[in-house]
This record gives sequence, structure tokens and C-alpha cells, in this order.
Amino acid sequence: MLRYTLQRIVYMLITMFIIATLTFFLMKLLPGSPLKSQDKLTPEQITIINEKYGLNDPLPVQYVHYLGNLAKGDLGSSFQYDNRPVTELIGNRIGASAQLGFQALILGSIVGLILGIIAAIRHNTIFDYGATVLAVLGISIPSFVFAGFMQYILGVKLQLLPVALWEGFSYTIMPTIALSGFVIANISRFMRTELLEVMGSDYIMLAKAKGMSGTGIIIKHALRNALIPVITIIGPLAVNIMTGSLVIEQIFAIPGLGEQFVKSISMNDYTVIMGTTIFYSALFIFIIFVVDILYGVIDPRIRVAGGKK
Amino acid sequence: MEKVLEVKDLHVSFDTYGGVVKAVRGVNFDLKKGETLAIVGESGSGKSVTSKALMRLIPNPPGRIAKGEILFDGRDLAKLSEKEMQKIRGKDIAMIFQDPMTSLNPTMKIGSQIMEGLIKHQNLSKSTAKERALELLRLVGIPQPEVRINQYPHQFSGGMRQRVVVAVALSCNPKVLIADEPTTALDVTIQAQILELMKDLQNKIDTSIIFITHDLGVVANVADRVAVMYGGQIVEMGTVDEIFYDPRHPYTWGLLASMPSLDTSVQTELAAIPGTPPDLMNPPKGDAFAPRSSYALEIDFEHEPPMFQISDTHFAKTWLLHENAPAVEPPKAVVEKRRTMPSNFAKPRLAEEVVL
Ligand SMILES: Nc1ncnc2c1ncn2[C@@H]1O[C@H](COP(=O)(O)OP(=O)(O)OP(=O)(O)O)[C@@H](O)[C@H]1O
Ligand code: SF4
Ligand SMILES: [Mg+2]
Repeated sequence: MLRYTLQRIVYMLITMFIIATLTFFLMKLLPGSPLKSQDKLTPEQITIINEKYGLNDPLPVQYVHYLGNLAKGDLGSSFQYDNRPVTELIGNRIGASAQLGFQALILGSIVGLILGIIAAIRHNTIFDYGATVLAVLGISIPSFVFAGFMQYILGVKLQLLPVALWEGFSYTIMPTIALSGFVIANISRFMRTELLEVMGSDYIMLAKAKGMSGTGIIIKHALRNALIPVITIIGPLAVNIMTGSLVIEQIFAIPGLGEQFVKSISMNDYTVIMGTTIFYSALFIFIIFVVDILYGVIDPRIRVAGGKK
Repeated sequence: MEKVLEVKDLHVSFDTYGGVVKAVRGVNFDLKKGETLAIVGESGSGKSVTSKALMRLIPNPPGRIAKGEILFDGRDLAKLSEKEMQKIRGKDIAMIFQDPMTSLNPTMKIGSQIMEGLIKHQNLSKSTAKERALELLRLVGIPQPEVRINQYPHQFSGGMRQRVVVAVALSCNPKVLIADEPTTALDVTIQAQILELMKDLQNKIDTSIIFITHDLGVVANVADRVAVMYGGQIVEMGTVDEIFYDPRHPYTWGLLASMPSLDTSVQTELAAIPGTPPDLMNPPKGDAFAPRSSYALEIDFEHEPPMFQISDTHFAKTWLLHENAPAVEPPKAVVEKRRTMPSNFAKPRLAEEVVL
């Protein structure tokens, strides 16, 4: 397991490096400049500013400089927000986003797993069909439609929950539910399929032939095996939550990273865009890393040395 | 000899969208203490369905035991509740499946998979169950059991895994062991080892075995009696000698003729039985084998033959044994090996009301 973990860490660093490089060069290809929007600057001033930010240096020099700063954890400073460091900008905003994303992932996984398990155990019954309908709704209704719907019913009509803003736990409920819908739908579908497949496998038949009871078989034999493939989709779902939160944060006026990211894009704020991109990528790579480790924990064929692929 | 299991007129059906598949259609047999009964027959003849029905492991829906009795220990297993069946499975009747690569749980340690049944049926504590699991691993010939017990299935070879499955099956000293093609997925040398192991253990714990196989060569080595299945029915049954040296059913002739023989130096031609198995959704009117039988009589397409009895132990379901039937010549491979059986009746009689 230790070897496996170290190996994953190395992979994680390599991926990080590649993404940082790609981000850098893609940004350089983008047309426009953060300075163009302020037309009041004279050409001399622009030259001075370019000099100050090192934008006149040859590309390789800029690249090395950028990588060096990155390694130190320095993402540069914003062109727009009074020169404040990007890390500070991200730091101020990350709390709300992280809480929202985390809550949505946890809620989505738990509800999704439960629905999937029920659908599989009671397959071809009313429970199964009910779960299918929920899943279809969850996949096909965009989260912002769902969010607007909830705001209207729960917020405006019934006045059960605050319509927007971010001032306490009750404010997090609607955006969390809106973001988790897609996760619930996907995990429940996946879990149902996998569990049904596992329940039809030879080793479940052998467990039955040993005289194990139905629930015992599901808990001791089926769930763990069904979970292995389900873990794979956590990565993509995390991405879905990240992108989904860009919209959801706008709708609920949540002071999160997504909202700031959207603004910085419209203002061509290079360093903030790059910094946030790098940050999102790092987060994603970290999630993949956690998923890989989870794999190892659950599946002995990965964890135990001497295993065949 | 004492009977441990008695199957009477067993019918198993599957309700599918296309219609009802009658996979097992009136199977009768019994199993005596300590004996090995082989069930042979081509793919789809209902061997696995029969054996799963005995343990009530037919998935329902779509499957169900439509009719019949499975008498074990004075009880009819066909009528027991799921809860009561769970007390019998693994304890009194155990099963070994065909593919050792898929029949062990990949995420559970070998030891736990063996101990599970012991803890459930014999109320052993964890530590006693572990002792017993070690003992079982030793018994089935797995080296270094102390190390192996904590390993996972992927760390074992196919043959070793099947040994583990045998250990699981024998853990509670079952009265009946059902082995559904336990060696088919293994290569020949390993096959022989596993068969040897099973025979050995059978002597030690005095289990009766139902041994399902495609391979008549294996049958000769392990079985006391043989039941030949065709289209969901037993068409011939007898002792190993009776089936090998005095077969009476044309389907059995076909099976024997298509078996590569090791003992004859003359290379007899391998004759696969022509035609396809019957449609179990609409079984033919007369004998299910008639469309494929080169010996078929007119009556065969009209009426199903009854079971005839050739000796106390030998039964065959074919009109050829009727006193008015014309004499026919079996395939050369069968005739060459034919011997007269001293215990045969003077002539075949109708096996009415026989409890086989
Ligand atoms: N779940 C099911 N649904 C419908 N039909 C089934 C089902 N399971 C088995 N059958 C049918 O029952 C018949 C007998 O199958 P069975 O598995 O017993 O054959 P077998 O003799 O064991 O063959 P093999 O040697 O290939 O293992 C087959 O025709 C099959 O189509
Ligand atoms: S009953 Fe007729 S068709 Fe059936 S096996 Fe005998 S001879 Fe052939
Ligand atoms: Mg089979």
C-alpha cells in the first residue's frame, strides 16, 4: 500500500506540472490584455506596466519565472484587484465554495448509494421505478433550473429557507441540494447496475450455497465489490460539482471562488484566471489521488503486492 | 444402502418473455450414503438447473420448481421456507462450482470465506473457526496455510482456488456434495489432482457426491452410478459398468461413441451426435430425442416412451426396449465394448411405480 501511495503521489506531481505548463502557454495564446480595458493609459504607461510584470521578457524566461513562483506557492498578483496576491483572493473565497462542494458531494454520494442499493435489491418493483424516475429527473434537469424552482417554492412561496446569500447553514441547504441532484442521479444509477451485476456473480451464488442470509450477503459480499467501479465516477462528478458551482454561486449570490472566477474572465485578469485554473486543477488532481487511494483500500487486488493486473 | 436424498418427479420451469422454458421435466433419482452419482449430458440438458434446484438456488423469478419432491432427512426441500433452507445449505448440502476463478469473493480473505460457514452453522467462535479453517486448508493440500489464510483469491492459482472452494464446501462435513463440473475449467493435471482430492475426502467424511460433468472419461474414474440427461429428463441410469458396457439408450450410445477411447488401440471415429437439443419451450410431442435419433420408430414421434428397467439398477427411457420393438444394432464403438451383465433381468420390463 505504501509503494502504491508513493507511486500515486509521483503521478500527481507529474500531472500537476503538465497542467501548469499547458495553462501557461494557453494563456499566452489568448487575445487581449488586461490593460486594454483601461484605455486611459498612455503607451508609455503600458510599457512601464509590462516591464513591471515581466511581460516583455522572452517567453521561456517568463515560463521559468512562473514555474519558480508556482513551486513557492506564489500565483502572482491580480491586475484588477489592487494588486492583491492571487493566493489571497482565492483564500478569501475558497471557504464558501469548498463547503458547498463538499456538502453536495457527500449528500449526493450518500443519497445516491442508498437509492441505488434500494433499486437493486427491490429491482423491477415500484421502488426501482421510483428511483429510475428520480435519476432521470436528476440527470436531465439542469441544476440552475432546479435551483430557481426551489428558490421560488421553498424560498418565496413557503418561506422555509433563505432565497440567497451565505450567512449560515440554512443558506447552504438549497444550493447544496441543487448541486447534488446530478451526483445523486449518477451514483444511484451506477450503484444499481453494479450491484445487480455483482448479485448475479458466481461468488454470490457460492455465498448463498454456504447458507448465508440475503442481507448478510449484500453487506458482507456484494456492497464492497459493487463499490469498486462506482468510485471511478467520483472524479468526473467532482468536476461536475466544480463547474456547476460556477452557476449556482451566481444564482444564490454566494461569495465563492466560482463567482470571482467568472468575473476575472470577463475582465481578462490573467493572473487570477491562471491561478484559479491551476487551483481547480490541483484540486481535481487531488480528488483523483484520493479516489486512487480509496481504490487501494477497497480492492485488495490493487493494494496487495503480488497481484496480477 | 441408506438413501440420503430422493428426488421425485422434479419439474423446473423458467418464465421468460418468450414463454415458459421447461428446463427440467420429471427427474427421478436417489442418492445413497457415500456413493458418487454422475450426471452427464450435453450442454443445456438441465444438469445445472437440477443441481441448483436441489439447493433451492434457482433464481426466482424467473425460475421455479413447478412440481416434484426433494426428500432429504425426512423433509421435502421443495417446500421449505428460505430461512429453513439457509440452515441446510452449506451444512447438510454443499456445492462446488465450475469456475474457481469467479467463485471466490475477490475482496475477501480466503480464511474469512472458509470461516463464514463454520461460524454460521457450527456456532464456532472466531478463533476456533480459524483453527478449523487452517486444518481444512491443510486437508485440501494448500501449503503454508498460516500465510495463505490471510491472502486474497487473486494470490492463488486456479487449481489452488478450487482447493479452497473444496475446503469451503467440506467445512461443515456435508451429507451431500454437489460438484457442478468442478474440473472443467482446470488443465488436465490439475483436474486429476482435484478429482483425487475429492475422492480422498469423500472417504474421510463419508459424503455422497453428485458429480456433474460433460466428460465421460472422468465419470469412469469417480462415479458409482451414472444418470444420463437429455432435454431436461434422465433418459438412462445405471451403474458405471451398466452404462459403459451395456448401454441401452441411443443417446447414451451417441455419447459413448463420441468419447475418445484410450483403451482401444484402433482409432474409432469420433462421432458427434448430429442435430440440436430440443426446444424446451415447446418440447416435441413424442420422444425428445426422436428427431436426432437414427433409430427412431414411428411411435417415437407420437408417444413419449416410458421408463424401462433392465436390472435392479439399470433404467432406460426408450421404445427400443419394448418387446415389440425391432432389434437394432448400436454404433460400432458401443458394440465392441459390450459385455453381458449377469444381473440383468431376462427381458426389460416396464419400470412402473418404481422408486428409483
Ligand atoms: N435463468 C434462466 N432463464 C431461462 N432459461 C434458463 C435459465 N437458466 C437455465 N435455463 C435453461 O435451462 C436449460 C438447462 O440449463 P442448464 O444450465 O441446466 O444446462 P446444463 O446441462 O448445466 O448445461 P452445461 O453443460 O452447458 O452447463 C437451458 O436450456 C437453459 O436455457
Ligand atoms: S424412444 Fe425412440 S426416439 Fe427415443 S431414443 Fe428410443 S428409439 Fe430413439
Ligand atoms: Mg451447467
